[in-house]
Formats: sequence, structure tokens, C-alpha cells
Amino acid sequence: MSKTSIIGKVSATEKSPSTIDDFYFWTDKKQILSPFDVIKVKHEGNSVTYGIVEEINHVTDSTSHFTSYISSDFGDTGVGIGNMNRLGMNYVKARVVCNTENIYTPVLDSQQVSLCDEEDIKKALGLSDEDVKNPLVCGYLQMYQGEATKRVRVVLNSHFLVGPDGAHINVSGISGLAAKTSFSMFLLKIIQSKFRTEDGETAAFVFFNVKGRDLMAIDEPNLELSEKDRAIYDELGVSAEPFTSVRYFYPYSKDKKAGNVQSYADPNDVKSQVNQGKASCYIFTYEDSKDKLDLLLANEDDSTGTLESCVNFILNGSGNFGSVSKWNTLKEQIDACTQKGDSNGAKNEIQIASWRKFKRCISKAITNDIFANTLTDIQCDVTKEITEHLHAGDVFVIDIARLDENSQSFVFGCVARAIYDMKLGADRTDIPDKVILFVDELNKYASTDIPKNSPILRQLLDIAERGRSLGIILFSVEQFRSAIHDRVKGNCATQAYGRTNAIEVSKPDYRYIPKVYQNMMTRLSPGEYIISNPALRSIINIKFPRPAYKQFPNG
Amino acid sequence: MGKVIQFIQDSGEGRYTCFKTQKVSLDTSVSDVLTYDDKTSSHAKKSSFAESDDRRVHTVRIGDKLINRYRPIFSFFLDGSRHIYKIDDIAIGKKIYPFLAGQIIVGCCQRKSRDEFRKYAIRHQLVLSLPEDFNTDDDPYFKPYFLNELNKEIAKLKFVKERNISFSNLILYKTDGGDASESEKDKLKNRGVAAIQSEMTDDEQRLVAQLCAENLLDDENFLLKDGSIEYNPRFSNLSDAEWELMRSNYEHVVGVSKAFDPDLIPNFEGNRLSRTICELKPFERTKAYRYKSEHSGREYAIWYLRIRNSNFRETNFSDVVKIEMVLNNEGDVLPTEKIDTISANIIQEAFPVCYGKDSRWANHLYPVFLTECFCKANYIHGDIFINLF
Repeated sequence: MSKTSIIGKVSATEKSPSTIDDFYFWTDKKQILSPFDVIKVKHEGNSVTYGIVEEINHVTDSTSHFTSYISSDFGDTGVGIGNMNRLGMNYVKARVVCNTENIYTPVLDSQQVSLCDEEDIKKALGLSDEDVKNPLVCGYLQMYQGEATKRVRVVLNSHFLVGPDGAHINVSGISGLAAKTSFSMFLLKIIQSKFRTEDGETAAFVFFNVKGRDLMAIDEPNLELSEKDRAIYDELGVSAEPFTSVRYFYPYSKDKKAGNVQSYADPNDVKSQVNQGKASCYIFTYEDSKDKLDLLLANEDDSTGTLESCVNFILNGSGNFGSVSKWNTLKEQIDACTQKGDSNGAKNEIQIASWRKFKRCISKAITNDIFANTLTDIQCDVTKEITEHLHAGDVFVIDIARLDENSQSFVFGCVARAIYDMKLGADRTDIPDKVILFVDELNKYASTDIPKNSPILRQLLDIAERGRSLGIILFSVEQFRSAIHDRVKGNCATQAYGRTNAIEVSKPDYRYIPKVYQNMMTRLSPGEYIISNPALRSIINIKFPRPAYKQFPNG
Repeated sequence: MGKVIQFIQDSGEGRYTCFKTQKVSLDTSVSDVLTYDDKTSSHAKKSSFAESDDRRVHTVRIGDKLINRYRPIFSFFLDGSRHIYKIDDIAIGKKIYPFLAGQIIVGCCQRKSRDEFRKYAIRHQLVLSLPEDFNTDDDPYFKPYFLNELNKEIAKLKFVKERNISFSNLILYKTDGGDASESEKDKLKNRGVAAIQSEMTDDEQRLVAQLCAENLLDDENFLLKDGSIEYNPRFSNLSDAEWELMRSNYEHVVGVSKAFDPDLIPNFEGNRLSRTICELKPFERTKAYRYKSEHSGREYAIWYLRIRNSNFRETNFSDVVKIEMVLNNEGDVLPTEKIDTISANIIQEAFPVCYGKDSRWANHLYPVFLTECFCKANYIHGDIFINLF
């Protein structure tokens, strides 16, 4: 056991014995410890057992609050009553994380408990160089207080993060305080660098920008990044550079004043990006998108399958739909189907009421400017761009922040399907080994409230369940994890919990997390995450520096 | 286990017979020991003052200013504790005697600040108490030889060896003389108990001597001892020379008793002091009176102090303590300021309280309570101790 400061001794009592899983130790009442701090105890066979602090209790020899009241001279609120303070100490519950010799008999009473040095911490949590193959930096741990403070780089095995051993990450936390996007981007930037610099596999990235212009300048440096944060980047061995090879896709708008885009980004910035050849506007023409009509109905409850029948009717070119090549004509044809006495044949197969419902659902959606009739040189089809031009190291950022909910779902569905189709068999030889799909506000597409037959949910389930083997990795982010479909979050190998609220942590999703950590989740600072990953021996509390790309604090 | 009785029987080579009767703890029966703790009441008709202020008043109020004085003067706290067991009945010759054994712990804790309360020293002894006749040949080297052999024997037990358990003293109690009114059976048992109790008080004195030898006691660092500091040389296993030497160590030692005989001494008018004690107001003390011990012939300053400002007391004596200090020479008086300062400090020591843990909480002083807990926490478990026999 290396020489580190001794802070207490194991206490095994009749009521609180040491067990295989946990043990208690006492410390001085002024010893500052925090949940997630790692401590070590010498054990049998010259081994060392590492524990992780779970609960810290302060007790005195006062048998009741009444005793305390009497001790304050029957309710005197003044300080310093008497010549000494009541005898008190802290006792700490620690969970066993590992033993160096795999001896898991309970640690013995009166054994000295020490703080750990950096090597010990790594060994305890499975972060040491021998433990972590294919290292990928995920942040850092900060442990202990004052002079004893230790900062340890958290390095995870990338095979457990982006496949093949484990894939998909789910990040949750309340809006504003959890820094979900920043954390995801921190990881994604490191993944981009790793796959660029190291031999072997290749990766490409597709991000959705869902709020403000958060991700619309990720290739520009963050000029306000503090020296402190830069030092952390250095310490982690990660460059504080923004993303590279980024292309931005803005939804097209007819409004010239807005720079022909529907976006929260400054039109001048967009123009500049377009001029530099790294941005384009996307549209969906009927001809290229008719097979995705179902995606426009993703949020509609269609338990009887009537909407699906309408979609199939159109896709099969039945009635007069075979000659339709523009969205307007589609609308006219659907209109016709809703009229009494229509003779195009549709009436016989599908009831008018169903067509009316279909019309109601689809008409509003396709009025958006992204549903255009003709693809011009200044526009692009984002799905085609993905299937044909998404190369290793590329980052495609698709802005959907200013679109209505139905259109957002449609774009998301189209992109997910395009990635899936590309991975399943595009006629290209340079398909990246991994495509990492970053989706914010996952609750819009895979919440428990989404109709079961939603094509987008089905797509997401497919990615979650088969993506690991196909090389499609889902980086999903949402406010409330409990609202997400079980099969989506269940398939995420890595879970990151940011600050959340007390109601959320009372949900069954958090049942396996010790109470004290649950409570901690309600107090986490921005830039602080609790991570669970199969390669880690315990859930850990990590921190990360501020993003290295340009920030828009006011949206 | 069970080595000691067998060893005694074997080593006696027929001189002793052990009956292997039931082993019982004698701690529950308080009456066994009270006779040795009691002091003889003073025969004086009136008591004289043992403090410099000789105004003829019954009580003195300790001022708030003094009570709230910044630095406490008590730095050391001492307490002794013992567990006694009747192990067996042993036949020596034609007589049967009780065979007793005990654990003695004398602990001293040091307070360095409000939050720093640490062990200064602890003396832990396992002792045997047997009749004088046990040393059948009056061999002056019998005790060390016997203990040495006994410890070698019990060390054969792995558990004992690992924990370094050994007997440190064999005390031989007197078997003849004494109070004829007592039944023979109780008399012998009480003498056995008294011998162990005496060893404990001797240990207390040794620890005080150690503090003095290390120059740790002075006007800024007093020792507060739980209980009386009036020791009876009759109940001591120390030699006379050792005894006398130790009596000079008590200049900075204050004895505080939770339970006391309120009529130990009369007041300066020759009336019962118990009434004054009973009517003491919060933070009031009686005058310090001179008390001459009939056992040792030494003089003590004794006063009584009500340490709490509360209307919730169980009895009128519930929050009164008896305070003793040794007067070095006959006729000496203590400066009244010193008595008041000590009293003020003792009032401060009354907080926090051990309410809920000790029924005597109102009379208890917290650091003394802690020292007592510390001593008791160091006992070898009673079952383990008994099983050594």
C-alpha cells in the first residue's frame, strides 16, 4: 500500500457490519470527504480493498435532540456554551469497488482507512493504463479537498463507448443547468480527434441543432475560453480546438430578408458560411421524398392504420397519385379524395373520413418552405448529401431549431433513415466505419408517449438495437430520462446523468442509484456529470472543461 | 479456555481445592463497595473556613463574568473504573474463601481545545484477589513467581497471546480481624472487593504522579478527578513511603463528586450543612470548609456548588457537586479567587450534558463523562475475562 494519509478506521458493529459490498469507517468530524471519493483499506493476503464513499454521517454522543437542547443550557442559542463541544465524529459508508487480489471477504474492523493517490484511484475505478485499452478521454475526476485534492483523467475504453463492445450514450439533465450539449460535444470532439489521428476505424458525425444557434459555429474557436479551461484541456491531453470538416445544413426559406434560411443564426454568418462552401440550404422535393411521407405522420396516433393506408395508396401510385411530382399537386389530389363523388378510385378503398384525417395531418406540415417543388443549385437534399458525401471525419450539422415540430420530426426521420440506408448498402467504398448521430431533445422522437407505430420511433429502436453492429452510434440527449422509451435507453451502454430534479430521481429509472447519489444529482453544477459505463467499476462523478467551439450565450 | 483455576489447583499441589462454583459479576451489587467509599462524618461541632475570605456568609454566587472566562483551567480529566467477578470458592486448609478477580482501568484524558479531547494515559490491569493464606509459606517471592507462571500458562491460549492479555497483580486480602458484626462470608468477599478497589485508587494516584513527574499540572492546567481525592492509607496496597510521596502531587488536582453525604461536615455555625446545600441557588456555592480526614490525618477544603441554572431538577441535590482540594499543611487556606475560578470552570464543564446516557446527568461533568466512557470502552469483554478461568 503506497503511503497516503490515514483518515480513519473501519468500524464493524452488530447493526452495521462490514459486508462483501460495503463497509463503514469513522473519521474525524473535520475530515472533508465527498460522495464518490475513493478510499482504501488494507485487507487480508496483503491486498488492498478500494471503496467509494456513499454516505457520510455526523454523529455525537447525544441520545436525542432533547439532549442537544438541554446541552445548550435549555435553549440558549448563544455560541460556545461550556468549555468543550460535544464529542462527535463522522462515520462513512463506503461501497467496495475492488480488491487488488480479488479477495471479497468483508474488510476487518479497526483496519486503517486512507485516502488514495492518483494511481490508486485509477486502479480502483478501472481507469489504469492496464485496464483501459483503446483509451478515450471523457473528462476528469476531482477528489478530496484542500491540499489532498487529486485530479485524475478519466479515460474509457472507446470500444465500450462507440462500439463494438458497447455503444450509444444517453445524456440527461434539466435544461440550462446540466450542460448536456456541452458534454456531448466535448466527447464528440475527442472522438473526432481520436478517429482522425489514430489508425484503424473511421467515423463521421451528424448533429441536429435543435435550439438557438448552439451548434451552428462548432468549427469556430471559443475566444472566451478561459486560461483555466485551456489548462484543463492540456492536462487531459486534448486539444482545445473546435471541430473540423464541418458542413452546416439550414432549412430553406423563401424569405430573402432572413437570408433564405429558417434559422436562429445570423443571416450574415450564414452567408459567410455559404460563401466558404461549408453551408447549404436543404429542401425536400416530392419526387425524392414521397417514400418518406410516413415520417410526416410520426406523431399521429394511427391505431387503426388508416393513415398508413393513405400513405400506401399514394406510394403505390393508385388513383391519380401516380402522376404527382409536386407537393402542391399532392395536396390537390388529397383534396379530391376528400370530396364526395370523387371517381379516382380511392373512395372505394379508403373512406373519405380517413382521407380527411390524412389531409388534416399532412397539409399543415407540407406548407413549410422546406417542402419545395424543385431542387436548385443553391439548395440540396440533405439525405442525398449524407448517403453520397458523408465521409470519414466529416461533421454534418443539420439545423432544425426553427422548424415546427412535424417538420423537425420529418427531417430527423429522413436523416436517420438516410444514415441507415447508407450503412446498409450504399454504392460507395468510403463509407465511414461509424456514423455518430447526435440527437438533442430525444423525448420528441422516442418518448414513452410517442405512438408505438411511429416510423421515427421504429427507426430509433432499430438504431439502438442494431446500430452497434452496423456502426451507427446514437448520442441522445434529453431532459428527463424517465420519459424515454425503455428499449432506447436500455440499449445505451453509457449513461450520463447531469443535474436533474427531485421528482425525476424518484422515478424507477434511478432506483439502482444509491440515495445519496440521487440527491447529489439534484445539486450537480454545470460541467459535472455522473457517468455509468460497463468498463467502469462504479458510477463516477466527472467534470469537463467548457466547450472549445464558439458559444452563443444568448441563443 | 478455562486455564486459571486448573493452574491454581495444579500449582498448589494439593494445598488448594477449587470448587468451580458459578462465576458472577459483583458490579451490580453496589452495597458491596459503599462501605469502602464512605467517609466518616466529621466529629467537629463547627467547621472552619478553608478559604481566604472569612466573611460569615452561607453561600457565594459565582459571577457571570467569571463563568464566561475565556480559557478553561482544566486540561486533564481522570477517572477510575473496575469490574469485579467472584470466580470461585477456594478451600485452603479447612477454610473456604472467595476467589475474586477483576479488571481495573484508570484513564486520563487531555483536552487541548474545544474539539480536541485525547487520551493522555490509560492503565489497564487484570488482577486476582485471593486470601492471605493462599501464600501458604509466606514466601516474599511468591507473588511474582506465581504471576509469571500463570501468565505463561494462559499465554498458551492463542487468543490470549495474540492480544497480550496477562495478569499484572495478585492481591492477597486479610482474612482475620475487622468488624465482628459482619457475617464471615460477606466479610471475606468484601475484603476481596476492597483489595481490588484499593488497587484502583492506587493506580489513580500513580497516574497523578505521572502527570506531576511530567510537569503537566500547573495553575493553568488543572486535573479534574472524578470522585473524592481523599484516599485512605488503610485501603492501599502501596508502601507507606510511596503513599507519602504521592500525597504531595495534589496541588493542582480537584476532586468532584456527583454523590455525597450532605451532612459530612457542619457549617460554621454548627448547623447541618445539608440545608444550605439543598437551598443553593444556581451557580451558588457554599463556603469552603476545612475537613480533616480521620483516615489520613490530612486536611481538605470542601465546598458544594450548584452547577446548573434550571428549574427541572429531579431532587434538590440533582445538580449539586461536592468539590475537594487538598490543603498541603494544617491550617492552610485556599485563596477565595481560586475557589471561585475553579467553581466557575466546573459550571462551564457541565455542558454539554449526557442526558439520556447517564441518569446522573445533572451532576455529571461532560469531560468526566467522556473519560468514564473511554475507560469503559477499554474493558476486555466480561465473557472473555471469565472464560480465562
